[in-house]
Formats: sequence, structure tokens, C-alpha cells
Amino acid sequence: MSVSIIGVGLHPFGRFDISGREMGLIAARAALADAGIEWERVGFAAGGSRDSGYAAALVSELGLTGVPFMQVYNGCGTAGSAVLACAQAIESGAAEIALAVGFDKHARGAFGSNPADYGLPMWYGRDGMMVTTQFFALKTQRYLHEHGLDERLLGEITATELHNSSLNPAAWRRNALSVDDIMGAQMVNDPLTSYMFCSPSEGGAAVVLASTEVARQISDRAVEVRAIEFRTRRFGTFEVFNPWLAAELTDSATVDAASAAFASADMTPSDVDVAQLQDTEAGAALMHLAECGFCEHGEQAELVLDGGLGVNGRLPVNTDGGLIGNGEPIGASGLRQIVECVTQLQGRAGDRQVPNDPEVGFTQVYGAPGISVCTVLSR
Amino acid sequence: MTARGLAAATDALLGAVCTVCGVHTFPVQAACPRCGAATESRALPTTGTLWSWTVQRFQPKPPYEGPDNFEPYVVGYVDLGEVKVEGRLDGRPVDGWTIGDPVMLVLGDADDDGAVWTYRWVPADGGDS
Repeated sequence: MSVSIIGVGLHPFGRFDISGREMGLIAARAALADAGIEWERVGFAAGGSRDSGYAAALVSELGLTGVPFMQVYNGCGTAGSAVLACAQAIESGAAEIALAVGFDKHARGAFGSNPADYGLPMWYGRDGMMVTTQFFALKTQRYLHEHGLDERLLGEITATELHNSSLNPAAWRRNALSVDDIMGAQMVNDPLTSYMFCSPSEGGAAVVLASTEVARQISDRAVEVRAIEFRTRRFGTFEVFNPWLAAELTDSATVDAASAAFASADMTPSDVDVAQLQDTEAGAALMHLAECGFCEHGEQAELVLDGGLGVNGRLPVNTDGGLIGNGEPIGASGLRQIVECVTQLQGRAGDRQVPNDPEVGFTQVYGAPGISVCTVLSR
Repeated sequence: MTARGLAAATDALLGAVCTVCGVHTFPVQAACPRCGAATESRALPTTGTLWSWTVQRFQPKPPYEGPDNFEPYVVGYVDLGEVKVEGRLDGRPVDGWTIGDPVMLVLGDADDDGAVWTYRWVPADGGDS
């Protein structure tokens, strides 16, 4: 791929008094300013939100230039899909410069869901099984059992992420907690305690992309998009809101997207210096380490213990605090990961900067109903 | 009495089996999710082993219908061989379950028209552990 990121912008994640749309606008303007270009030069745009209105309507404040603005909504893969659309527009020659933006503002508490929207019978919800957090817990419980993993790893991952978010001025959760605090907190769905889950939140994120040729003319710190791959689930995966599972389970969409991304970048997981993984809860983070190829299933302890995922660790993961430290504004979450990777690769991450000039970054989102987008980025 | 709703006439849950590739689903769905072929209804086994479990410790949002005073309950997947079926577990304290426990099916509440809309998995070895 001959596409580079020339600017990144973020509205902090958390709870705020402005609309989700305004956060998207702030993030988009910040990304344009970071790239040092005017909106008029943007030849293609894509973006989305779940609860905060139409991304394409941002043009009424960015400027009515006639730019093709593709609106996307793809669950947790919304932002990743927006970046994919931009990268492909550039790759195809349809545009030289593109903007991807995502934003959202969700009500407090777990998302409520209507069975009919998922093609499910009403009894599934009436009897108390239409609950996303249950799914995460059932999957984590089975994973720990199958691979002989200690529940304490869930606390270790959460503690590392909350430490990172305590160092990140744009993060929501600014208080570091000990593993014991996390393990001893209120149980939500066994084995997951309240601190191990991310919460719906608010925020905005944006990136400006350009063809690598144009990027070289504009920027001396552009980060190359070595690969971006998007996959949906195959038959036999373990997804949310399923009254049944197949007799034989299959690898998730993350496995397919991650391996395709590494192949397309002609790299391996061992080349990665900093990674941002989907951590809707701590069990997902644990599984995604193996699904992306950073370790074998069941061997996470070697990576996770003794601060191995910390900023100074063997594989720095979720260096801005991840979803656990930032919450999840669905439309913005995947772009936040890319913004953080670019910031790290450019050496601009301040107190949470990964040492020794990291060169290769990796991002992964996973969400309902079984979709994943992975990217490989490099200086 | 013939049970209706999600239940078969034989006091079992009613699933479906693909007429071409043999994939089982629950509840019944008309087309196979793997190959798209037509399916046939099939009463599912009434005993199995617990494959995973969790405790629902907060009251879900609607459409959940439960007692006014919410009590935590257990949800799990039960391995029936050809398919794993999700359901609520009963008959033990909420933290009394282990993966691999043998369980059996009990049909539950029916609506006014006789359609069964709940079922529970209970210990197959009888009673509290």
C-alpha cells in the first residue's frame, strides 16, 4: 500500500458538555492542523458515529467544498471502515488526500439491545440473555478454562492499561489501580469485575491520509499505512447474542484480519514495537494477544506478567489506556488506536512514550457482529 | 399436552438440522447458516454438560422481564454434542457451577396461548453440590 498518515487529531475521551458532533469537528480540525493542510485540499472523506448523527453533515462547518464524503456505520469497526475507505480512495487514485473521522456520545451504562434487530426471538431478551457483558464473560470463562490461564491475568492487564491512562491527559480514567483493587472490585459477570470492562463514553478522533508520494512533499514525519485489512466472521465463531454455538468452533475474524494484515505488510508480529488491541474487557485483550499472533494461546502469562505490556515492557500494548482507560465512543474508538500508534511512532507521546524510537505499530478492532479491522503502520 | 413455542412435543427444545451439511441450530431457523440449504425441525438432546457459565449480577435493561426484586442468576452454554445451547441454570447457588457439570433440561413458563418461552438447565446428578 502506498498510503501514509500525515496528520492526527483527537478530542479527549470521557464525559463532556458538548455534543458528539462537536467532538468530531474538533478532532477533524486538529488532524488538518496537524497535517498542515486546508480542508479544501481534501479530496475524499469518510466517517461515522452510532449515536451522534451524520458524519457527512460536518461539511456544513468544515466547508462546503463538494468533497465526496462517505458515511459509514459498522459497529466497533466504524472507524476502521472509514480509514479503509480513505486508504482505498487514495490507492485507486481517486484522491490524493483524505480525511477519516469518528465520534460518538453514548448514554451511561451497558448498551440495551432489541432481539428483533438481531433476528432473535423475544424470549431471548425477556429471559435475560440479551446482555453484551454476559457474552464477554462466557467467552472469557471458557477461554481461561480451555487454556489453563489464571484469572489474575485479567487484573494484570487492567492494571497496566489504567497505569497508561493515568499518564495520558486525553484519557478518561486517570487513576491507576493495583491488581488487588481490580480483582476485589464489584463482580459484574464472573470472572469479570467492574474495572475490567470498558464503558460507553464520548470522544472524537480523526486522521488525514495522503498518497505516500504527496505525503513526502507535505510532511517530514508521515507514518506509512503498510496494511489495512477488514474481515467478517466465518461459520462457527463465538459471537455476541447467540442462543447456540456450533459443535466445532472456528477462529475469529481477528485471526483472519491480523494474519492478512501482516502478510500484506510483509511483516510478522515480532516486528511490532507498539500495539493497540481491542479491550472491550480484559478477557478480550488476553485473547487478542494470541489471535493477532503475539503469543500462542495459553502462553499470555509470559507477555503479561511483570509489566510486559507496559510502555517499557516486552510488547507495549494499549499505551494510551485502551478502551478500558478511555471508554468506547463506538464511532471514534478505532481511530483513537491509530492516532495513538502514529503519536508513538512520531515520538510525541510524552510521559507514556515507548522508548528506543519504535518503528512499527499495529492496531486491531473487533466487534459485533464478528468483524475485525487490523492495520500495520510504520515510520 | 403438546408444548409449543421453543419446545418440541416431547418436552425437548426444538432445534433444526440442515438437510445437506447436518449443522444443528437453536432455535429453528429455515436456512442453514453454513451452506444456505433448507433445514428440518429436530428435538434436541435433553442432557449435556456445562460448557461455560457466568453470573448475571446486575438487572438487564428491557426487554428483560424479571421479579421486582432482582436476584442474580446464572447463564451458560450447554454442550449437547451437535450443538451448544445457551440457557439459564438453576438448582444451585449462583457460584456453585463448574465447567463440565452434567445438566438436564426443564421446560419453564408458558404464555397464555401455551407457548413455552423459558427453560432451565438443572444439575443432572440431582440437587446442590
